[in-house]
Amino acid sequence: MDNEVSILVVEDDAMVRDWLRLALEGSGFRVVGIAHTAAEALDLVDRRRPALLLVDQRLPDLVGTELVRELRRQSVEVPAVLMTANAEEGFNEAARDAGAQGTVLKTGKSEELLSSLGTIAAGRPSFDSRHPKRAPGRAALSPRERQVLRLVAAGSTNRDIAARLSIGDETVKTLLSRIFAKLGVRRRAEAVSEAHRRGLL
Amino acid sequence: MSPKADPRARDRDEALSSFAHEVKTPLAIIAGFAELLAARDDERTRREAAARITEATERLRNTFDDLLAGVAADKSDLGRRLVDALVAGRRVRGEGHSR
Repeated sequence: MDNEVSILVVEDDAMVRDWLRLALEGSGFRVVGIAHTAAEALDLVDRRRPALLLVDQRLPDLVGTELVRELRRQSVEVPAVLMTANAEEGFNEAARDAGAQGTVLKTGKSEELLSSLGTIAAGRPSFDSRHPKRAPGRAALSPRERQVLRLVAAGSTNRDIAARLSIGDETVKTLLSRIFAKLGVRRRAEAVSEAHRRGLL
Repeated sequence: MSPKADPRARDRDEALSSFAHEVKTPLAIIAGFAELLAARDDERTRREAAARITEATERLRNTFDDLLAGVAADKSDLGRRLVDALVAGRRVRGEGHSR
């Protein structure tokens, strides 16, 4: 159908991808590509030229907000919607800062997802109000975030950091996502540099 | 010190966020496919939903088996604190929800 909105899904979890593909079918959206990683997404955005991006926040190679930042840095202005399983404090602000037009929760109903995508496809923002607002004064790094950033500065990978701090890979991704959001950066090296500049390390 | 300003509270929030992700993603899959099953009656949706709901259920079962194994191996009174947290959570949710 010609008036369908073309959409690129960026999601590393096969079950979530299958649900999205089926839920979007026949609903006014056409999935023109599915990327498993941010690197694949950068390639597919260029080749498939979607009208809309639906991006998971927890990707294996970058957090979703970083992917959106990178796209904006490359002057790719296609509207982007970031997905999370949890409501996270300050996530709407972080998504907005990165250049996204909306956020959705995977735990919402499919009609909520379709409604949000429709709103954004029509050129209006749609940020899920279940994400609590960022509290004032939360910009400082927590001791655990500083620990992670020190290990990043020493050249550790996510796996090294997880092993060193006895935490899961997902927790490392969460911590990095928060560090980047708090510092307003998109790369590990920038985070280290910015933290040094602000005297946080 | 407010709970948000307490570093231990933040670490706890981060661990909870990761655990919630592990649990909520398969739950979202089960709910999402069940919703599609209720709305559509074609064979492809039925087959795909059945397979994915089974897979998501297995993933949830593994997560809880891992959690229970960790609680069983713990030497502190973690099990009791978990039950206390469950009871407290139900009380908190009960204050905002009537059934």
